[in-house]
Amino acid sequence: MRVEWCVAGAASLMIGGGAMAQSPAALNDAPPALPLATTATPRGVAGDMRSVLEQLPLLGARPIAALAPVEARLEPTAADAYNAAIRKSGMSVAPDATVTTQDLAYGADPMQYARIYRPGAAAGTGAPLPLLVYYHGGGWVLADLTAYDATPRLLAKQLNAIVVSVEYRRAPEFRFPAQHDDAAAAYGWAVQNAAAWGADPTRVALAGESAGGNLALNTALYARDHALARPAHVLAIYPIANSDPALPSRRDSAGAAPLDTAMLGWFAHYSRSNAGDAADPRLNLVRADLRGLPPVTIVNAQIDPLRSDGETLAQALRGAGVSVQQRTYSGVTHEFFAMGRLVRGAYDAELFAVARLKTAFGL
Amino acid sequence: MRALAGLMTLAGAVTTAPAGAQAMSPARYLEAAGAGDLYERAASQMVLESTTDAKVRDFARMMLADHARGSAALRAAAARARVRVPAAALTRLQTEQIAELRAETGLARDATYVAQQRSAHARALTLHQAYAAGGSAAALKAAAGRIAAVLARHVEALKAM
Repeated sequence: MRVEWCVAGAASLMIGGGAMAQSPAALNDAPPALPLATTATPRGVAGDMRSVLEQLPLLGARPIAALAPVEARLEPTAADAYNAAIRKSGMSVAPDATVTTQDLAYGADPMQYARIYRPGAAAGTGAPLPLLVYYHGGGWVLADLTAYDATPRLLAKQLNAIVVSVEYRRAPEFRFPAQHDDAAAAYGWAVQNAAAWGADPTRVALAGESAGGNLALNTALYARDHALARPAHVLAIYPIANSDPALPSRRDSAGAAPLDTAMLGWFAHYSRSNAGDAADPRLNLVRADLRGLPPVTIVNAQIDPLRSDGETLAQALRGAGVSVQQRTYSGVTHEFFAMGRLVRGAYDAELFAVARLKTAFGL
Repeated sequence: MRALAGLMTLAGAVTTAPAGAQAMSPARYLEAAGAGDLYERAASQMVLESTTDAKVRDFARMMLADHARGSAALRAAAARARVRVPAAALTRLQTEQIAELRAETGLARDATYVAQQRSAHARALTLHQAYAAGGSAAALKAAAGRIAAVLARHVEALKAM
């Protein structure tokens, strides 16, 4: 069994060479013939979460899975919906100015750069801060690190840590495993340059959301296998981790917002180099060799087609002897994390994640 | 495992795309590009009314000039391609973003403007790159490529802010 997966991994590595070629024309490729979400929105969405999701149709959101990538990237994001709800609540949408940022390149492609988040408290203390390397979501096709500004900003502030939010080349211009290659390269670069930013590279952890949660876990595996600095912890927020299309959450949250099950097929269509990639252990993480990983924290939303990914990954990690805590928050959906100013479940999840990372950093 | 692999193959078959690209129509491209330029002018004018930051001011002035030039280049290209240019109108998202800018003052408006600019330019760059790579009207395609090069420079300028 393990041999089979290794063969799949080697094959996709070879195809990975082809994935290096940039193809912006693919942005126009017609969407795959997918069964679109005909099921109603699942019940049980809490009122505060609903107040955010209700902004999406007001912002003109269309079903992503029916769009070509160029159109899908014009769509409002969950962060746009959150900002609209924040403004309508009479609060400021301006990013928290006590955390400052700087963009730095880690590679030659314009997308190979990172945003360094420095907490205000970093100035003048002299003592090096912990380092957190973070990967944004968007199914490897949509969104960018600006759309996922809230999480790294709040983690930098609440952990008093240097947070490096990694941008990476997106699909379909660059297909799998270009994103995984960039994630690993950026991690090595961040550890190497940490001291210059006032961070301590021996106190490093990984975090990510959705597709970025998958990248965080894979980068921890990469560090284990390539003698890079070993992260003290991995925070995976609703990661992509299981390629089984029959998972319970794929059905019970098929019509959820802002992520529905059809979108997962859409992401796969545009991000994978071939159908065999689904079996690659980097995507189907539940079948990867997970032994020797640091403690892992997994955050899930109840109403999310990726909920079962997190739950089955927690089992797989325990089976591999890894210390793991997984929590599923009720009444909330995909993308709820870092919406804590409006959504109670998000506030609770943020407290949980921060407490786990503080423990990992010895704070 | 074999069962899982079978399902994957099945899923792969279902997700096979129809042969050939389905590029944006010239009219749709012009609509989205026109909305983007209109948003740039409205947002940049608003931040210029309040900012005291020289970097923000210089960037906003550059946006006013470059996006006016981009709109003019597209109008000329559309005339050559014999495509009618639709009247520019903000999308609902852009209307909300202008409302957010209006609700902020001082440094908070500057920071909101820069954050919005990063998102708006990521969207606009994809739009013009995609049309330059796969558009159907040759004159518009060429203009899209030139505009994408200007937007790529804006993206780099935003990284320095």
